[in-house]
Amino acid sequence: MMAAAADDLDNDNVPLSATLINNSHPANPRGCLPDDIILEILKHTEPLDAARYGQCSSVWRSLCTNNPVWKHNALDRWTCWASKPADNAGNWWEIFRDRHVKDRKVQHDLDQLIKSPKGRLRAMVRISELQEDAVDVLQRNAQMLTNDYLAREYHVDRALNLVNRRWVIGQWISLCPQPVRETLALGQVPSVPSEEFTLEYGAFLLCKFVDRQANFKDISKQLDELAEEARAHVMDPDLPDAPEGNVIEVRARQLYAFLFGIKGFGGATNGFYDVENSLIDRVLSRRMGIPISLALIYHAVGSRLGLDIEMISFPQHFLAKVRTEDGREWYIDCFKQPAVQDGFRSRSQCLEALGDMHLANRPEYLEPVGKSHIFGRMASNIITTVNHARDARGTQDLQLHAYGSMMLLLVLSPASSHMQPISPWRRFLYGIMSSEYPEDVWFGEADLRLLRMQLKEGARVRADTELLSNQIAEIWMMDDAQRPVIVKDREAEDFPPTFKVGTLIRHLKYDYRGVIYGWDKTFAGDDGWWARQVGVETLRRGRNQPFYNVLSLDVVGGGGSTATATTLRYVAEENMEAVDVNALPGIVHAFEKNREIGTYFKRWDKPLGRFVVTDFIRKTFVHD
Amino acid sequence: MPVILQASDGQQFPIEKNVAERSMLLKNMLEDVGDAGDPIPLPNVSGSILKNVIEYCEHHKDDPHFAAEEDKEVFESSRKKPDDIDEWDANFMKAGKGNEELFEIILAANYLDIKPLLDLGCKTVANMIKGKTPEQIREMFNIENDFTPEEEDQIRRENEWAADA
Repeated sequence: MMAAAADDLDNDNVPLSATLINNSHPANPRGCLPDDIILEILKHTEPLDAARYGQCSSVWRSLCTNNPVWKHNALDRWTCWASKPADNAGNWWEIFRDRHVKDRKVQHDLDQLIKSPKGRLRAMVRISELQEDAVDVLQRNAQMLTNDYLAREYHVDRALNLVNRRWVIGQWISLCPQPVRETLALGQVPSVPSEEFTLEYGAFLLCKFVDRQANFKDISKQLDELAEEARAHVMDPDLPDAPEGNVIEVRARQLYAFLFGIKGFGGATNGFYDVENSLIDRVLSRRMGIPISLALIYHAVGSRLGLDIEMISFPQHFLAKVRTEDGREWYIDCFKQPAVQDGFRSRSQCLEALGDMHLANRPEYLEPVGKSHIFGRMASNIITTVNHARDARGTQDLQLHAYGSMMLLLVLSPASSHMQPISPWRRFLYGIMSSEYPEDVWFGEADLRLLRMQLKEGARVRADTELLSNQIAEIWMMDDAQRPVIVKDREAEDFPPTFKVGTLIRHLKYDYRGVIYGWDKTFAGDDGWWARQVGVETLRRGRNQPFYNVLSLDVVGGGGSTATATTLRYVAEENMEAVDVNALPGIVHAFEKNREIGTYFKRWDKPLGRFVVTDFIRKTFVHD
Repeated sequence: MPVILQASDGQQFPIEKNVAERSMLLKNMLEDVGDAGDPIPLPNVSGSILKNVIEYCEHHKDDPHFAAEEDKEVFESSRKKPDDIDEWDANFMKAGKGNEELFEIILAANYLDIKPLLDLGCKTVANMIKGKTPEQIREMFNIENDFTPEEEDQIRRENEWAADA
């Protein structure tokens, strides 16, 4: 009944009682217990201990490195793998050890970067180079109850997002030609075989870039279910009006009626410029989209039913296309509501439409396009959408969508005209990178390599790439710099500020809640725009009162929404009062839920009634 | 009608049938040959150890039976953290038992095929050796160190990755 001992061990059938310890019995490398019992004991042992026990003797060593045990241990401990070892992998002991060493590196880097901002980026990038292999240890850290849990969760979240972004870009790179792949050199992500890189997979990657929880299986399953349901409508053999030799057209129309009639998919005629219309998971749940995302659904469901559907990058409305048995072509507009009019157009109707757009001489717009082109157009749509929505609240995710789409365009069509070195798009990308996601500096470096490979040498080009490479150098410089610490010691002040860092406050005029993460004993902003903005001159106590840096919590979106975002504010002491935490149950939790809190604070200290600042901020406010 | 077990030293133990059936070996035997009422000889188990094993089986006689899944599944499901030992079991293992006795109980559980007791014993030993140096473990299990000093040094280096976790 025992798990088999390692094959290379001879399992002598000595009578059991004879193998027992007794003083007259000489020691042997095996010890007093049979191998299968030792293996059984090792199963109940922490893997790292078992590794040490192997130092006892040669027999114990081979038992401790026993493959099934370590395979079990490894799969038990790690669920995410950059590339998962095969079931029959040769040496699970080594796999375990290597992975464990990676965990340690990640742990070390994470602990460092939580402690100090110096070298934080390098540590982040090192972690992300391990790809999925870093995920398990990061997630374990997020669940640890350490005394710096807020800061830890914040940085873990950032690192996981970074790993995710690198993974997504790595997936996109599968579509690039070999020389581009080599130049980008973004690590060891196994490339996705072309037949698996379907349109819906690409559409999924666009969601995944921002939402690391997005799961391709969910999307695939929904499409499968749609196809299953559609089958009855589309494949009905007893069609009353199916003329001989015209099955394709009938099926295409029936699929159209199923999706855009029965299932209620349709064009987002209201709120066209909403990024959700471009995200396949949202399109599936909201049944609403723009022409290209709807055409993609039509294509995905149709392919599952064996319909051969091509994708046409028509100006304005993206179209799907089928070719009938007798060679006629139907161009299908999935955005138009079928209630108004069926979306099927003949080739001549489309040519006419091109004429109306003064594009009569461009019939190539009616030719099918490949995957990269389609993904490129989807990405451009997202960027356009985000540009339209610039002023909306809670724009961080929106911006990230545009940012990811630009990365995709750079990777997919590096030579395209709007991606010249200093195009506004690229500047926007580098701008976001420097200010919000400096840990994406790896992408900037890859982009530069690609630019240098693709662009013909010239003074202009050199100057442009120089500009970008300076920007990257600056990011690294910031990371390496020793940040000066200005000590603000309240005990050295004659009239110290009333509130300490970490205090929860309420703004007396605007009624928001916030937490203090810094102070100046008097107004320290500049006298121009900033002073006017704060309204220094109109304050009762004027500029010679303490001013505080406050992280405020704002409810985002109306209608009972509980989503929150944080804003950084600069507030005069006369405009604030301390919040009675006991009278406001849930307020601490509301702050803790917001991950930005972890940029300044380690934890909530209940007896103290304040948040505790990070070690680095503590160096400034020595006696708060 | 009680079942009579006879230890290697001739000591006899009349026990209830459902206590005996905690042992898969005895259960199968009783099913196969029926109970003739003769003492069943257990030449591999001494009287003092058998007494312990019976005490365990008495206490657990009403537990649901460990389903006889395939070994592989047992392997997958039985490995739990070493600290989830129930209180009675923990006391049972502690109560004045030295290493030798503990090992003998494990061997008897293995021989009699009493999976929960075998698990309990292995977990207990796993807890005992946690944090011990190779030298301490050698002593405990009466293991002879058959490495040359050079080999030993090399293995120690190879294992540095696991040293201070």
